[in-house]
Amino acid sequence: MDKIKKTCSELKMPLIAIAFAFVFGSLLILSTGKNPIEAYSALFRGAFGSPAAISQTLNKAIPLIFTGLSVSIAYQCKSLNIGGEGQLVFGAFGASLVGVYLKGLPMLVHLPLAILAGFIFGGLWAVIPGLLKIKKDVNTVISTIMMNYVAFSVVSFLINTYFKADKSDFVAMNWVETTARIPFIQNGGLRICIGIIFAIIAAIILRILLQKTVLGYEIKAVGGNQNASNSNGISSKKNILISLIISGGLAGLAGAMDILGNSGKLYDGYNPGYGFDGIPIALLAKGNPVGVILTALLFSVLRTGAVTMQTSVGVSRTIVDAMQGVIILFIAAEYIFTIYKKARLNRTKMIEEKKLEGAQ
Amino acid sequence: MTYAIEAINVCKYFGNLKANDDITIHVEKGTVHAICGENGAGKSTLMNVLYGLYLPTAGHIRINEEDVSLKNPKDAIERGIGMVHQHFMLIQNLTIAENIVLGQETGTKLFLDRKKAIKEVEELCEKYNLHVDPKARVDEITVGMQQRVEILKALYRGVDLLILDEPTAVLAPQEIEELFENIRLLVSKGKTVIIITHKLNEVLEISNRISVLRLGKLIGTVNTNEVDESKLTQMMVGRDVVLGGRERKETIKKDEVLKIENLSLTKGHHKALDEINIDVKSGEIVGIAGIDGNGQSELIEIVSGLLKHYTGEVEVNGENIKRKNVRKVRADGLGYIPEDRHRDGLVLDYSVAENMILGQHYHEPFAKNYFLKFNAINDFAEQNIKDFDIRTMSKDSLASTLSGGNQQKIILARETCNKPKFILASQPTRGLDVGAIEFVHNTLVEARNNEQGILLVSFELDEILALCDRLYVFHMGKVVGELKKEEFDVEEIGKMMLGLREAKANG
Amino acid sequence: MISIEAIILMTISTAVPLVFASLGGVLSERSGVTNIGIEGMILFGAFCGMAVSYFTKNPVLGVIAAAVGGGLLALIHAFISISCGGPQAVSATGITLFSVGITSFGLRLIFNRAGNSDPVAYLPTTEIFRDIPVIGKYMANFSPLLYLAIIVGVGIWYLFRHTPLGLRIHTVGENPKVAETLGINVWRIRYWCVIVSGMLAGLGGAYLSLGQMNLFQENMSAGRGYLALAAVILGRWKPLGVIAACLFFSVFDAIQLQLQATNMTGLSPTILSAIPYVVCLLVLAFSFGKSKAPAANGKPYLKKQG
Repeated sequence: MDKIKKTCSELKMPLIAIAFAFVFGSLLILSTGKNPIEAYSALFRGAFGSPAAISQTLNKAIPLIFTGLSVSIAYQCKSLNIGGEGQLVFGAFGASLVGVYLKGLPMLVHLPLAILAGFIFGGLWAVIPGLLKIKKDVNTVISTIMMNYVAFSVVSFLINTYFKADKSDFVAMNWVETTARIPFIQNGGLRICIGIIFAIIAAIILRILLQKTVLGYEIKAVGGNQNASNSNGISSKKNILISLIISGGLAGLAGAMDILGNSGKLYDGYNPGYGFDGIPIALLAKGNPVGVILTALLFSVLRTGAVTMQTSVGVSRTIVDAMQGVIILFIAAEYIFTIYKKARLNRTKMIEEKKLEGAQ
Repeated sequence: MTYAIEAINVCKYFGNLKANDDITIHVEKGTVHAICGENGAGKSTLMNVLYGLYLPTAGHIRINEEDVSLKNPKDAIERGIGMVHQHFMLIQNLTIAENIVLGQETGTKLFLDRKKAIKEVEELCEKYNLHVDPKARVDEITVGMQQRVEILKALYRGVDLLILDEPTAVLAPQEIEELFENIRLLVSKGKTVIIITHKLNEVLEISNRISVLRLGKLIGTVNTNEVDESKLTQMMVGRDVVLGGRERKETIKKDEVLKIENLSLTKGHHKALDEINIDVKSGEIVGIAGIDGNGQSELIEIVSGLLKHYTGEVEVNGENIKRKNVRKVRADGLGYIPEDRHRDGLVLDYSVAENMILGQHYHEPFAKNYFLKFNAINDFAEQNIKDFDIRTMSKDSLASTLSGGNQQKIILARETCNKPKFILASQPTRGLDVGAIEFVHNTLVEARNNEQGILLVSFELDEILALCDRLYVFHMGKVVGELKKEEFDVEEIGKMMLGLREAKANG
Repeated sequence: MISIEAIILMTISTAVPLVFASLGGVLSERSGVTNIGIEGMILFGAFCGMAVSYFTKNPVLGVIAAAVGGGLLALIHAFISISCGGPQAVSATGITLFSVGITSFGLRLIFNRAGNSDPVAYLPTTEIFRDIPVIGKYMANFSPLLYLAIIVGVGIWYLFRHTPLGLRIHTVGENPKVAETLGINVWRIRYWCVIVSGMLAGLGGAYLSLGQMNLFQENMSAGRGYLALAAVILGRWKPLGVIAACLFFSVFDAIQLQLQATNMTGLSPTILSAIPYVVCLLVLAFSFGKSKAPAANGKPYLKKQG
């Protein structure tokens, strides 16, 4: 009973944030002279209206879950990793390398290797911001975003030079071998990528990591109080670095899933924006891995449906970006409520104490 | 008789908590009025009301027999009230002159006249016989001098009434004497002083009248020459208190739990620690006396294993710690009670139980194969909550919801319950009320009786004198004296703390 | 061939938006509020400037609108991080994402297409300087915003060096509690510093859309806000040091642009365009000693409830 109550109160703020974002979106739609109800119904039709739409919504959720988890794990250690996009691109590149250039392996070996490569490449890309943070105390936001620009350039350069496809209309790498492609489940009009299962498993693993393991305890301890952690033999540097590497790895996995499952091929100029979407997804879920699954689905609905909204009603899908910003701002402002709650808690605490003292 | 300031039926409630409950105090002009009470009695709240930082829930303030309403410190400053906070309100990287004129700057809006500021500060120094160098930066001067700057800051604003919040907490005995002389000088020039403190001997020495608070209520106001220390204690606490722990047993003192040889540490351009030699044996409490900032915190960081770039030898429980990390040092028999429990002791967003295993969370019985063992953790927490009488709703309450005393008990439980051979305690009673202080002292003395060795760092000389079997005095990163219990002498130790004298023979 | 002259001129002109933005960063951070949202404020400023210039045909009004737009976004950031005491990095990230979305949306709304806007009326260069001997012919080529940036830079230097207000801002950023006990209104100072920092970022944006170019492109801020913040760190929160750091980054930007133009290295433009960011990361990695940020930077200060 208590648990339900707790969950409800935890859900309250995110729901208010979402509602407010929709209201804000309505204003934008009105400003274009369109009808918000019409636009939103087109949006939801685009996301749920047909088996194909549902498939697309679920498939789009895969990379979003991974980037959401990526931001979550870093945020547990109080680093804001907004370089997910670069780590994702680098992870996609790693997965493509293994997917394209390793040949003749059975799928059971090839696919895991390609996915692993995504994790490793993404993780490596987060090592530099991690080192800058622990050695020089450079703000992670600044260093990770710089690494984004570098990642785009480096990967683009590599695709344009050493890893360019033999013949292709666009600049791109070769097709990933079929043994490294993530299979789809097909049933009627549904066509769902197995990656969604990987994503859910990843969320569960992360949940267990954070709640049940020594590493999770240490990461959260460092996130809660770096000094106390260091004084008690929990290295804040080590844990910040580890959490950033896991974070980068998860973003890399998002890229791997997208290439190995969705597109099958890494094009020049690939940056799908999932890395940035991970930020509101994680913040809205308050870093809770299971919550990330839900918020990622929500964003997937918005992103998928927005395309239909644009084509059928003529409202630009970029309003979703603005709505995301609004959600984040709301979450940030929400602090005022938690602080108010804390103040109330403090007061009750003092009163309790006085009572206890009085009873002595 | 005229009154400088009066609190009439002042109440300050935080929700249901009555921090100040119907307090009426009249402070006579040209006197020193002391406000006494233990931590949590409501002294600071009352002062914050007088200084305009809090609005009273009910009641009102009169200044010079005139009703006033103080909405913010600016109102209070305008009416000639000044306050010297316990934690000095100075900007470290500005000069003394800049700190003093801040908020009422010399010159025009578009030009800060630093020369004029310096001149005005020099004149003030002359007038009140408080000497400082206006051009020096605050982070270059001693604590005693910082306090002088604080007083000058108030005088620059033309105070008639000066509130001093625990002004002696960080001073050496001689500096306290000097402060008292300054207070007397101020009073002779017609100023009124309110001094907040819990040190009774000082209250009796400096004040004309004393008001005692307890649990938010005014117990009474008395003339100083009509009371003594035990009467005041009775008023403050409601019972007799024995600090310094219960009985002390004879101990064997056979093991050397801490041995420091020629320890030096360079920080920037100066030596934070300079050729330190210290040893602690099992079954004794050894104190480090000294004014804040004379190398104590560096010593603690080194002994606890955090700081490594020192020279010299540090052995804990007979083993050199240079190559050990914090975790290893602790695992090999060190309990560490940090000076700032919020900064170094607890993760406030973690539950009581989670805090109880901080630092021990990685080994059995609390963890196995990288996974936490919640049954063992919970049992351990329940047991400690019972043994240490920790007042909490449950083991799952967040540490942030506990009172300071109970938070300190979490740390005490964690660091002492498995009987480490050596306990490093830094200011273990800072900010606690008398009941909790008693508990901490008893725990430490029990550990001593149990043949554990304890190094106690404290800026409260009284605490060190009461608890320790032996003490070292620190000054400017050097050990300037080592005294046994029978040689303890406040006057002597005070001189050493100020660097005025070295002990004749070391040991 | 690479011409030194061209690089110097290019350095100066690419430094302008960075200088505006990083001076804004100095102001905000010295008062104790980190403003990572500068990136979004530049972008929003660039858009507002273009839009107003497009509708009024008056680029000066556009510049003013850019400053107002940046200031408005900063006001949101100020509200969240000062009044609500919210996490400042999160708020700023929200600001930036919001700005990306709203400007793209606005672009489609006005011009009904993605990518970039129509050309609009832009600021003329400072021809009045042409008759100054020797340097006049160079000075005449720059936008008036360059000179405004110089004035702002000197002004902020003077503010912190010689005025009571500067001393108070410094105090609020080092220890807000001290300020409050002296009767200084912490929130008011922080609010104004953040708002002005947003206005300066907006001016940086105006330089992009109305000075350097005459149109708005999606994401045209292109990470300059973050480079500006890196410059704040590198310049140790001191106005003149920060301007020097901006020029330092701009030199590399200018060199890379020159290399692209002359195509003498044979390297692809994509790899060259990463040079300023790589340099920035390297500098942050190898700058010796820990730089000292304002002590209360990034820490919310909540007033006691009276």
